[in-house]
This record gives sequence, C-alpha cells and structure tokens, in this order.
Amino acid sequence: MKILIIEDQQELSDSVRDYLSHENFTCEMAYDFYGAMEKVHLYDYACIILDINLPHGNGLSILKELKSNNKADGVLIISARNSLDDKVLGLNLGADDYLTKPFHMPELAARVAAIIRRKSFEGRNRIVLDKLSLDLQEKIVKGANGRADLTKKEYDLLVYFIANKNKVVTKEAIVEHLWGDSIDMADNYDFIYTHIKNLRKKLLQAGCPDYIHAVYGMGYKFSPAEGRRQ
Amino acid sequence: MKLFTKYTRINLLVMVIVFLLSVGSTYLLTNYVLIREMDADLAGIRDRLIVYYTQYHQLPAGHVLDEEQVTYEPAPGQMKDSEFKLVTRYSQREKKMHNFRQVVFTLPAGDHVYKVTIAKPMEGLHHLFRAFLWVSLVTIGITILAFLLTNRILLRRLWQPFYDAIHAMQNFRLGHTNDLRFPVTTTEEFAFMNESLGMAARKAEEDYLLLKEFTENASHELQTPLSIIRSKLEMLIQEEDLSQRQSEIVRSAFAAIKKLSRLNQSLLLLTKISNQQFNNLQEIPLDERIENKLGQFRELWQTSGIEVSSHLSPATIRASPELIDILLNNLLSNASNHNVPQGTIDISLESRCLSVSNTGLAEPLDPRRMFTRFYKGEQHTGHNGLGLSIIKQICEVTTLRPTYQFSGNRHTFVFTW
Repeated sequence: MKILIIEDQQELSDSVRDYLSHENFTCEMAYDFYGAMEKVHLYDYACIILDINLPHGNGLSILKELKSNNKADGVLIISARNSLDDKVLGLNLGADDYLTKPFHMPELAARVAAIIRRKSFEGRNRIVLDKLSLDLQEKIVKGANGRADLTKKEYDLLVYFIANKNKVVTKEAIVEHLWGDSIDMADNYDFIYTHIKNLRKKLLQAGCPDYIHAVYGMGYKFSPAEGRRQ
Repeated sequence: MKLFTKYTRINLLVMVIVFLLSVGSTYLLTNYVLIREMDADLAGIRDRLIVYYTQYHQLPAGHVLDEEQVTYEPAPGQMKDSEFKLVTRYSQREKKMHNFRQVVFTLPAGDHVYKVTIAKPMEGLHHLFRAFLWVSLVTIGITILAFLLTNRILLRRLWQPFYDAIHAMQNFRLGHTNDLRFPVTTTEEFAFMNESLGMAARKAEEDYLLLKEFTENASHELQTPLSIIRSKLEMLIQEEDLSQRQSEIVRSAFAAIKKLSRLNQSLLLLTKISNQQFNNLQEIPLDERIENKLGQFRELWQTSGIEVSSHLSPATIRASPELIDILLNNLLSNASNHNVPQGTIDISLESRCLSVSNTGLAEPLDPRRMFTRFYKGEQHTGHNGLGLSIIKQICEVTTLRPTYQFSGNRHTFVFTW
C-alpha cells in the first residue's frame, strides 16, 4: 500500500517516512509542487499527506486537481495554518482530514490509518491482531475469551495504539489525542494512567495477552507480537 | 455638542448683540434728532413771544388750545442764555405727571424781569419709542426664527453626505471584503473627505492583509522547525537501547518543545484576536458550553483531587464560539493549574455574570500587571504567562468586563456583560 508524502521540508518528510514505513506501507516523497503533480497523475495512493505551502505552488491546487480527476486517494492536509477558515476550506475541497503542525507522529499515523481504513477497506472494517479483533463499525472489541466492554476513551486509546503498534507513544501524544490540545495541563499526565490500567485489565480479562508496555519515563508501547501471556 | 448647535449658538449671540447695538444707536440718534427738532420748535415759540412783547408791551395770554404750557414768573435777574432741559411736570391736559421738554429764558419788561418757561409734552416721542422698540423686538424674533429654521433644514440637508460617510465608515470592518461605498456628493469638501477616508481605509485594508500574511508566514516558519524537532525526538525514542539518562534528556526536550509550540500558538492567537479575525458572532448558550467543558475537565480534577461545584442558570452571550471555547479552556485550566492539592473550584453562571473562583496561593495577583503578557504570579511554573492576557484580549473583543477579587486564599474572576 502506497503513501505519498508531499512536504518541502525534507527532514520532516524523512521522519514521516521512517515512522510510517512498516509492514505493508511504502512511502514515496515529493518535495515541490511539480514533483507532487507528476506523482499524483502517474500513480494511485492509499493516502496522500499534503503540505499546503510548497515551492512553486499551493498544496490546495493539487487537492483540486485530484478531485477534478475523480481520484479516490485519501488526503490528509498537514499545515501550519490552524485557523478554522483554512480547515474548513481544505475539508470542503475534499480533503479527508486536517492536521496542524507541529503534530505528534503517532497522531499522524492514527489519522492516516483511519483514512486508509475508510477509503480502502470499504465494507471490511475489522482489524484482527493476534488474539484481538475489532469491529470498527460496531465498535466491538473481542479477545479469545469473548467481548471486552470498553469505555469510549478506552476504545479510542486502543485504536490509537493499534495504528501505532510497536512504536513508543508519549503520554503527551496520548493526552492530545484523547482530550485535544486545548486543555492546558501543566506537565501532569497522571490521569491517563487510569485509562491505560483499565484498558489493560479489560483486555486481559477478554483473553488477550498484555500488549501494552510502559516505557520508562516516556510513554507506552503496544506490541501484539511480543505480548507476554499472564 | 453638535457642530450645528455650536454654530447656531455663536451666530445667535452675535446676531442679538448686533441687533441690540443697532436698536440702541438708532434710538439714541432718533432721540437726538427729535429733541433738536423740539428745541427748534421751543426756540421758535420763544422768539415769537419776544417779538409779541416788543410790539405790544404785554405778555401773550396762555394758549389754551396749544399743547405748550407757558408760565411767567418774576425773576431776580437777567439770564444770559435760554436753558433747554428735560423735566417731569404736571400735565394740565392729561391730569398727571408727564415728561416735558422745556425752555427757560428771561424777558426784561420795563423795570421787571420775567422768567418765562415754555414746556412741550414729549408724549408723541414716548409713543414713537415704544413703537420703535416693538418693531425692533419683533424683527429680531422673526429673523432669529427664520435663521434657525433655514439653518436646521438647510444644514441638515447640506451635512447629509457627511453623516452618510460616517455611517459608511462605522460599518467598515477590516478583513471584510465588502468595499467601502460613500454617497456621491457635489460638495467639494465632502468629496475630498470621502476620498481621503477611502484612501485611509484602503491603506488599512492593505496593511491588515500584509499583517495577516506575515502572522501566517511567521507561524508557518516557526511551526515547521518545531515539527521537525518533535518528529526527530519521536523517532529517537523508538530506539530500543535508550539508557535511562538518555530517556530523561529526551523527555525534557519534549517538554521544552511542547512549551515552545504552545507559546507560539498563544502569541499567534493574541495577534489574531487583536486583528479581529474572530468575528463570526453567534448567540451562544453559555450554560451548555460550560457543562460540556466541565465534562472534559472532570477526569483531570478527579485525578488531582480537586472538588468542583457549579451553579449554572441559563445564560446566553453574543460572541465568537471559538473565542468562548478558548476563554473557558483558559479559565478552567488556570483554575486547575494554579490550585492547591485537595483544593476547590466554584463556577457560577447567572444571566449576565460568570464567576470562576478557585483555591490557590495565599497571595493575590498584582491587579495592575496580571493581564500583561508574560506576567507570572509564581515564577517557577511552566506556564508561559499568556493565559490571562488571552482572556483579557477575548474580553475586549467580546465586550466582557473582567474583574478579579481575592479573599482568604480564593482567587475569583468575575465576568459581566
């Protein structure tokens, strides 16, 4: 499955590529308007990560071009502009999502995963990982022993972890994902601990190994393959 | 005071003074002329009387039919000249005291000297003056009335383009592309004014766009390196073999990046608010908004052991929903971040008054500096000191009045609108 990263800052697009390149994702890069236009015309992508300010042109023109050619590629705009007008404009032009810089990599991965699920797996909205299975339509989570009854926050957290499996995710990124960045809590992320603890407990009860590991001082890592049996 | 009123006041004052002066001087002049005329009459009678005496050597009998009153009395000596003067004396005809002009002179008759007084009533003159005064007053009145009416009608019509232009300027909002339209006027001054106003507005619009562009560019330029740093750090922590020391270094770098990007966002927000870029005003049900916010914050408060009580009566406010959201976030974040362990937060909402109070440091904020940028009550905290100035800025564009009270160890912010 191919992802196109259109971003003029090479350092940033390298990070995005490195972070997203796992399993069945292949990332291609475009650093300016013309390069991006060429790639967009030649190939189809599962998801295009699109920066608005590009050398030689505006990212929104690429979006318009895609839509006028009836291309089904999912589009995630990443932009430094965080005004509501810009967001509304981007989404009205047919983008699937809008993420403001500076973003957390896990957030980007979660949004890309959501877009790809919506676009590419129409009808098939189940995720199966090891002993864990998720019905994204019904929001039902099952383990080997049956259904795990998750709260909305716990469910969101699980989907977020799945999009970032085998990656260390910071507490800060988790807080921003679940509560948004409007809540300015002074470096105190203790309150997410309760949610993590409950999620782990419920998954264990449902018959899944303990997939979630605390990474000292940093955050958490969800790794289904390495899950230790309790 | 309106220009028209000022203009009228000065004009009326000058007009009244000029009228009074002219009435006064006309009165004096007429008086002078009439008295001279009368004196000439009296002198004529005197001369005729002297001629009569020289011819007949006797004094003429009283002129019963004439209005002049003539009296003779013996005098001790000869007077050099005739003496004219104004007197008040008894009028035999009208049977009351009256103003008279009289001439007194002496007439030598053999070995006697007679003092002769001829008095002529000034009745006619009196009536004349009265008529004169009335005519003047009525003329002044009519002139002033006509002046006021014409001015009122004429000036209102003449000044109409001015008021239209002002009205157009009042409706002019920066950042709204509706172009400024002034009414067409043939008055040179107003045409000039409209042209100048239009130019100033266009310039302001241009500057505004430039500024907006600059802010956006500045934001872009800063956000991109921030994104890069954050992404690199996030890649770094994926490494398997980070030591505990390295982890701690990365963690503090993360914290600093977070602070930096929050600071950048806050500064941008302040610029945007003062640029009035949030002008999608709506009627907002504040009680519902607060209820939602409380839901979002509840978990944080549970973890930090903060007791929250709220009394929300239905209330609406006309404002930008985005700004109200930011305002509530900042208020509740402040109330939680500057709280003490096991502290409390009280939120009360009445129809036009919102108050948020929280326990905190037993030291009031400096009311003069608390709303300035980068003000920090407690120096050690990780906050950027922009929260309250954002609140202040939002209050200014939303016409909220913020007040701060401190009592015991409770800090209370009250907003009225």
